[in-house]
Amino acid sequence: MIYDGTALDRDRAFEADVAIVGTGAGGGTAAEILAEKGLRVVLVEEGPLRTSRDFHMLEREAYPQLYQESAGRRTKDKGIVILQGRAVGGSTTVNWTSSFRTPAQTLQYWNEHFGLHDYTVGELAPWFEHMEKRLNVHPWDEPPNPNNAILARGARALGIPTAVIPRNVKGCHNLGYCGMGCPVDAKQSMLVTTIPAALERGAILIHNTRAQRFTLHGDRVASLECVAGARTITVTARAYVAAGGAINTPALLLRSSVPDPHGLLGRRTFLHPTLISAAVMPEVVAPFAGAPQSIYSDHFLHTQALDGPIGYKLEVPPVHPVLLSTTTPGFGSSHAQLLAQLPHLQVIIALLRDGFHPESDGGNVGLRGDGSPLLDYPISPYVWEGARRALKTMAQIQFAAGATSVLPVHESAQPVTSLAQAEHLIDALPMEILRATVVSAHVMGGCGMGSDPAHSVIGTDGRFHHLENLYVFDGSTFPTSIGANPQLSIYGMVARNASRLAARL
Amino acid sequence: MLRAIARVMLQGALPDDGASLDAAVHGVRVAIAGLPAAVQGELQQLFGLLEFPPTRRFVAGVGPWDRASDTEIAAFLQRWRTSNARLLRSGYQALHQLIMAGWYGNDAAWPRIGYPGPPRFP
Repeated sequence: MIYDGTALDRDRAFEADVAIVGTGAGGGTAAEILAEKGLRVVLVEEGPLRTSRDFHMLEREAYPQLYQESAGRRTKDKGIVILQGRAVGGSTTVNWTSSFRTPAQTLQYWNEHFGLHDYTVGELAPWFEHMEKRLNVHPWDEPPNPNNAILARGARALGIPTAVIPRNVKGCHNLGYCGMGCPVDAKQSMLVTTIPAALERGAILIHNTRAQRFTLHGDRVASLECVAGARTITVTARAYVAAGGAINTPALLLRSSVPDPHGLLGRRTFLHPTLISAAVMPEVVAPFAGAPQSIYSDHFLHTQALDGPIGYKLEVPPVHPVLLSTTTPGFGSSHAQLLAQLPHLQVIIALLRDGFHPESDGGNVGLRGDGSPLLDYPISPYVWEGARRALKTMAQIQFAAGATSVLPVHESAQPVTSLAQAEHLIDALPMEILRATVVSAHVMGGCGMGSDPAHSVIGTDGRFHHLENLYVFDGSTFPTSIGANPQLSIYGMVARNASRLAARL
Repeated sequence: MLRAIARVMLQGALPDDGASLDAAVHGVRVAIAGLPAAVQGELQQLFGLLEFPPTRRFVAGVGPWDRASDTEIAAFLQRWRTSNARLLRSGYQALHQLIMAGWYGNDAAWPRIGYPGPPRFP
């Protein structure tokens, strides 16, 4: 059963075994597993229900409809732009399909620092395998598009290893518009897999409906209060799952005034702060066409210790007019000239692995006066050092691949035509917010997991330490960033925790 | 005000007709309408500052928007873009983001940048 909360003619109350807030990687995965066990599930989603018929591959439609804050969500000081989904399926509806298991060294660090002893490669493997099968995750078997192929070519020329990205697609048309919602239902997002399956098993989905707060009674959640336009919707359940994603889940818990004896709620929110380098190639690249991400390099995650200078993953983004024009520095004729080269543009991104060093403790989610979330993420000198290094690496790869010019994306940068010039330029760039362009598409943490309630918000099974029947099943539970695109980490860990919850109920 | 700023921000990108500028400004208004109330409130403050004559002269250093020259407006944008005050830089970035998105989301913007638009299928 599906309800549009804003179309209800009166306030409504629902009863369930499990109430789930959010329908992204965490909520979707949990809903299917719980519904399959015969439990009554109610899913509440803030965003709209849109399907492939609505996905017209147009940025002007997709960003306002399918993203938080029209794809322009910013940190408190405006220094970082955050891409995060807001629709049935959450970010899985609009992500670029890259599917990596949680890196072994990240799990090792969690084991040592947060007491997550059953988060090992071996113990999680069956859960990753299960979700990979469910979502048809497999290394992309078509040739990479030129944007990705150039990353591979430049890296190879420098002896930097790259590999093919596993993607969660079935019958992919290789169009390149994953970020605007898959128009052919090839992407195996929650929207076309787990959510329909849960609905078939009797789950109820209420969309366009914002979870306002949990009401508490003693050491339990008593109900979930939601708002949809003028309507109030109340859900009562035996167990409650917060799966609104990082930023939104900690905000929901803050609005609910849940116990937070150690002041940890919303802290240690991570972003994989991402730097961008744009190159003009002699050949046609058409970076808007073809599977957006198919090649990556983890080389610079491994060149120094995990808790040494910050490492970064290299990937490429899809390049479409709105994302490109809003991200390209400058205005007027210099900006227009750069955009006119779009068919020849090649773009690399470096995702900095935050959260593994004392000078990288992430951001803090708070609430605005109206209850909406706001992430304060100051960028430390430690992170800026990595940003400068990453800009140099990307320029190096682009020149090695034959670029005629490279622009490190920064308000004080101009396109340069040699590596020596690029290095000179990058050394001199002031590394400050609102000068260097920093973006994020991976929001993690804020309700960190751990075995010790004095140092974590959530237990190893996903249960909130201080309430009996409240669980968090999403990327907000990660105690550091992942060091890879996070969707498969969420799927695998939530699949295990949701199965444990089902057994308990 | 938005029209004047968009005209300069998009110099070299806009075809030389009033309709394109109209489309860009319309795009900006649609984009603003889709933002959450808290962000709209911040933009209203920014626009208020730029429209109210005493603050306009003080923070932007330009005369009335309908008479300001391209050079004058470009100098204002450049000052904010490179300012040492974060608040001014964030004001510039907000204008940049809205105006670029407002224009480059339109089909009319694409021929100039060699973007063929979404593919047709099957």
